[in-house]
This record gives sequence, structure tokens and C-alpha cells, in this order.
Amino acid sequence: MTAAVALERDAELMLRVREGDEASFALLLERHRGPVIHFLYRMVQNQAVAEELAQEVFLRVYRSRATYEPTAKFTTWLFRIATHLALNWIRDRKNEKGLESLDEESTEGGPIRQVPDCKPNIEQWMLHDARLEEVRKAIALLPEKQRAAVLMHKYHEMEYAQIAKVLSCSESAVKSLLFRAYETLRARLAHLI
Amino acid sequence: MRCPLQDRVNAHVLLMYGSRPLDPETRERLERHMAECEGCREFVSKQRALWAALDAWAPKPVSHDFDTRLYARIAAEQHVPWWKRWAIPRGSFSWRPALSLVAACLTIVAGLLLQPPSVPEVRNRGRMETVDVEQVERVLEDMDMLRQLTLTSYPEAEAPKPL
Repeated sequence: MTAAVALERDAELMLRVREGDEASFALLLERHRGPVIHFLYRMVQNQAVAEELAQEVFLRVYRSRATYEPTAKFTTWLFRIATHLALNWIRDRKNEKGLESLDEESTEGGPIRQVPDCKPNIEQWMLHDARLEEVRKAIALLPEKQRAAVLMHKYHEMEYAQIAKVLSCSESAVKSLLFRAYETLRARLAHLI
Repeated sequence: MRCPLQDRVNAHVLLMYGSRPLDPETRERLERHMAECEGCREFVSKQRALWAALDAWAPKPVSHDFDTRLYARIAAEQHVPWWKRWAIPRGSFSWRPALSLVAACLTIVAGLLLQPPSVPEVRNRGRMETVDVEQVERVLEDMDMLRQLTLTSYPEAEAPKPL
């Protein structure tokens, strides 16, 4: 399915949800559940929180079904809600200690390391893990709007115009956000790249 | 072509190169420029390496019961009478608004109770104390009613779950 067809399909499905078609809501959920949760996970860096916030996103979509109008792309609307919830959560937690990950996989002895069968070399896996931790920290240290812009641009391949609508700013502001964000990331991860 | 690194307006073209399809004309102009500009070549090289590093951050799998939990929440909301939905804030229940209201009420009541009696009021002091006590009782009844209303609408609110 081409991107344009998919977008039209999303709006069409949501209009059916407006008319009471629950199956269409299930289809939208199936299509967008993953991207929304993955975006939120990278924003808040906690899977449980990401899923809670994602539930709230889809709840709000469902609640708004009666008044839905396809004035913007469905994904723009979806990510705008997700970004808003993520930014609120991050700001609410800013006074709490650090940005350490509340990884639900952690045990008393530290985070569980899953060693995949294809990487029998523990040292290689630990190196990979350390690099990943560096990437996560570098992203987490970005200002929230830069973080959201980078995640949408890099992992969800959104265009500047759509990111601008999600963040309620101009396209030139998005370009500036992204340029500064990537510049910061290149500097912080210089030893990895 | 002006160097994109010096012309910040077009710097995004460097970001797009290698990550997004560029129109053929822009791509050709940029590649001709990069053949002569070491700064832009280095930028593109480092940006590609950065993207490769970011690619390593794979998302975690979604819980198998995500949809089940969502539909349970939708069903629970649909059983809440419209007037209760209006009265109680949506989303995760938070005690903070109720606590703020209670604190405000107590502050007002305390202010009324601690007011120094003026001379004309001395004669009616007994009556004022009675009125103030009545006000306190009304506030306490309102608080209790609010609490009852909350617990009735959201049984799970008895044990608020932090995120």
C-alpha cells in the first residue's frame, strides 16, 4: 500500500469509527499501535510508561470519534497527542531524581542481559550494550522538542512539514531543531561514530 | 551551489542526503559541491555514522495484552454515567486536584476562624463561633461527599497507581 493510499485509508477508517464501526477502530489500532508505542518508548525510555501513555493516546482518539474531522493526517493527529502526553510526563518527572531508566527488566542484581544465540561472544554483546546505552543517554539529554523531532524524523521517517504540524511550529523551526539536535548527537557520540 | 554548512537555510539538504530521496537536480548540485567541499563530505560521513548508531536502538516488543487492557478501559469508561464523567477528570486519577481543593477550603476556614474579633463583633462572638463551626462542618461534609463520589466512580482510585 503506498503512503498516500494508507493515509486516505486511515481517514476513511476513522470516519467509519465516527459512525460507530468498532472494527475500523481495531484496524487503526493494529496499524498504529506499534509506531506510537515505539515513539513513546524512545521519548520516555520506559516500556511500561510508554504503553500506559499509548493507551491514553488511543483512548483519546476513541473519545474524540464523534467529532472527528479529517482536517489533518491521522498520523499527525496521533503523534501530536502522543508527543503532548510524553512532554507532560517528562516535565512532571523533571524534579524527580535523574533520568535513569526505570527498566522493568531490572532485577536487584542489575538489568537482565539477554544474550542472543547469534552472539556467543559476551564481550561483543557487552560492547553493543554499552554503545546502546550511550545512544539512549544522548537522546535522553536532548531538550524535549529536539528529542521528539529527531525520533519522528529518524525512526518514523516523517517529513519536516508533518513534524512541524505535530510540534505546532514552523517548518523552518523544525529544520533548525533537527540541525541542532543532530549536531549535539554527533558531538556526544563522536567516540562511537 | 552555496555551501550548505555556511548557508544554514539549506543545511537541511545535507541531512536529507542519504536519508531521504532528494530531487535529481538538488542531488546532482549537492554532489558536485561535495566533490569540492571537504566540510560537507565530512558532515555527510559523520551523519551517516550517527544514523547507523541510532539504528542500533531497536524498540521493545509490545505487551501481548495491550489491546485487551485498552478495550477494558474503553468498556469501563462507557459504563460511567455522563454526569460523573464530567465531574471527574479524565485519564489517570490524581489526588492532587482534590488535595488542592481541600487545602484551599481549609485555608479559607482557618482564615475565618483566626480573624481577630472587632469591638462590634464582641457582642456577637458566641453567634460568630457558631457560624464558623457550621461552616467548618459544611466543608468537612463537602470533602467527605467528594471522597465518596470519587470512590464510587473509580473504585481503583482507592489505591492510586503511580506510573
